[in-house]
Amino acid sequence: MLEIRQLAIGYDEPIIKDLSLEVKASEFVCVIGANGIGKTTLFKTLLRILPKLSGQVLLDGTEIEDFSTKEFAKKVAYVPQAHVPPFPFEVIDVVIMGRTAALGTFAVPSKQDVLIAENLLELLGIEKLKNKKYTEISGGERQMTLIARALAQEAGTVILDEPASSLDLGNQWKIFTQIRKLATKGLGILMSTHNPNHVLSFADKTLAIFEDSTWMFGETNDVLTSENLSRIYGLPMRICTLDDGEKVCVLKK
Amino acid sequence: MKKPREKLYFSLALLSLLSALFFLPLAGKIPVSFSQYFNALRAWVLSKPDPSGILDILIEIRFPRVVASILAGMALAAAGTAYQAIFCNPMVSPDLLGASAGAAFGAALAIVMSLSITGLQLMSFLFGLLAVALAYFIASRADRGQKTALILILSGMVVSSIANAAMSLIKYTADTNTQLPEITFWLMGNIAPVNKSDIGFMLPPVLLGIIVVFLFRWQINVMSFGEEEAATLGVNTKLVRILVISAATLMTSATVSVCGQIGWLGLIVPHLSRMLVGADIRKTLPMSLLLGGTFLALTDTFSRTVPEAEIPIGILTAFAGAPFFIFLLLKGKKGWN
Repeated sequence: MLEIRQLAIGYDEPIIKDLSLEVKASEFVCVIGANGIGKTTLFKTLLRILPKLSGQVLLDGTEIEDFSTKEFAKKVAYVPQAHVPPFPFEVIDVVIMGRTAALGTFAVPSKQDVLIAENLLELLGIEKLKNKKYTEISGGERQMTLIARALAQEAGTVILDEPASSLDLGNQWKIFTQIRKLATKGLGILMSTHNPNHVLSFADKTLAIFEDSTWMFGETNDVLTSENLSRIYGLPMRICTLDDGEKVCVLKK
Repeated sequence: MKKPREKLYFSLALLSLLSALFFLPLAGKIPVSFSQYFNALRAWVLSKPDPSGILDILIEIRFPRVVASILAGMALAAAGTAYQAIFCNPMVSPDLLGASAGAAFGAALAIVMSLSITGLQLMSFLFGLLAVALAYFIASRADRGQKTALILILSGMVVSSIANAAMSLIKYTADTNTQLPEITFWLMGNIAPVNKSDIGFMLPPVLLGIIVVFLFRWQINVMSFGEEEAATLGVNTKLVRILVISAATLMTSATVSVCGQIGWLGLIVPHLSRMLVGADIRKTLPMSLLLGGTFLALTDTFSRTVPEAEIPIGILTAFAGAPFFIFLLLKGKKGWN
């Protein structure tokens, strides 16, 4: 479980203050907010890439600063926005990199690690990519590969930074469905996204960060109201309920 | 994990290196026939005297030279492979952080101070280490946890540039009849004067460097996805970075201090290895070692046998390397993206 208590984040000046929330096992929590509002800064702080300004971040009861690099990687996995590295690794090797925290410093992955990676490719339905070059597959396939890599860490909490932002609608849907499944299986998920409709369809809870850097955390249905969405984007937004009960978010003309 | 095609490449590369080590000592201005060669080797193995004098030529001149060129080629290729991965940049070569420029400056300084050859090598080696230590120190003072690799590269450029300026100053003040030509020739890279004790000087740092890179081969793989990502995957990035930089600097400085500046090899051989066996350092590193050793041994043998007068090796590696790089560029991006 990831607990955030009165956290202040930012580079020198705090950009978000007094943030408190929890990501429990089996929970899918989305973070929604405009560009530059501090979503990535928040994630970097949670991942110890940036130092926090004040407050506490606890993982299963222990402060994140108290973990070694390896132990931390066994608790939290990170899925960055898919980028293309300069070297043509095979997909299977990229996934096996998720096993690094479980290895000794001088060790290389064992047959067991390869097997774990292969099973994950199968779980995500991308086993045919196994020996493809990571640099040559599509954006959606790369994102799936990075999710497999994160799962190989066997961490209880997974943090995803806008995994669907550069994907087409079909691939966005695939990624969200897959992440929903993972949460149902017991992982705690914290994910940022720019698509309120996906949040409405998939997320248990939502952290909304407003234009004035205030925030609100709670059940998705309580947080994603027409009024709050308008405050997030500074535009008149409306939540409509369709005939079948599904909620959608639209921009008022 | 290795595919049949990769096994074939590895076998061929290993065979090439062993053949280079075994057959290249046959070549030279004094002709040595196969039977003379084997007789001399048999005398050597049985610790008998060799009246023909061939054994002396082999043991004192040709084998040291072939072994030194193999070692130098391996060192530069291994350093280049590790650097390209930890800096996430396929255009990086082992002299990135100033090792080569520093070592060259140290050698020039030793020449104007009229030091012995051992003094020159030591001075050159130490200045190579010093230059990289300075670049690393500057970068660590400027580092705020962001873009660490970029800051290091910039610091390396600055230190190289200072070393080159200091070198120009030394050249300008050097005796134009004796010292200046010596500095100029030394800078062009030359394995000709190498003897057995030079190999003893080169071997420990080169071996140590290769071992360190080999031990961290998996961690280096993960580092090529960038520092932040590697850290979230459980890699102690600071430790791996400083150890790899130290290893690469040891190898590069040792090589430059004995053989002079040999360009292009450390940039190109890793590309060739990736084209053959992929990006995984577990395969790229051994392939780079084999290809780097073979390539430099062949080039050096060419330089001392084919032209009327011997051509400095640095000139040849540049002539061979640059067109090969253009070929890689034209052929499309196979070893990088």
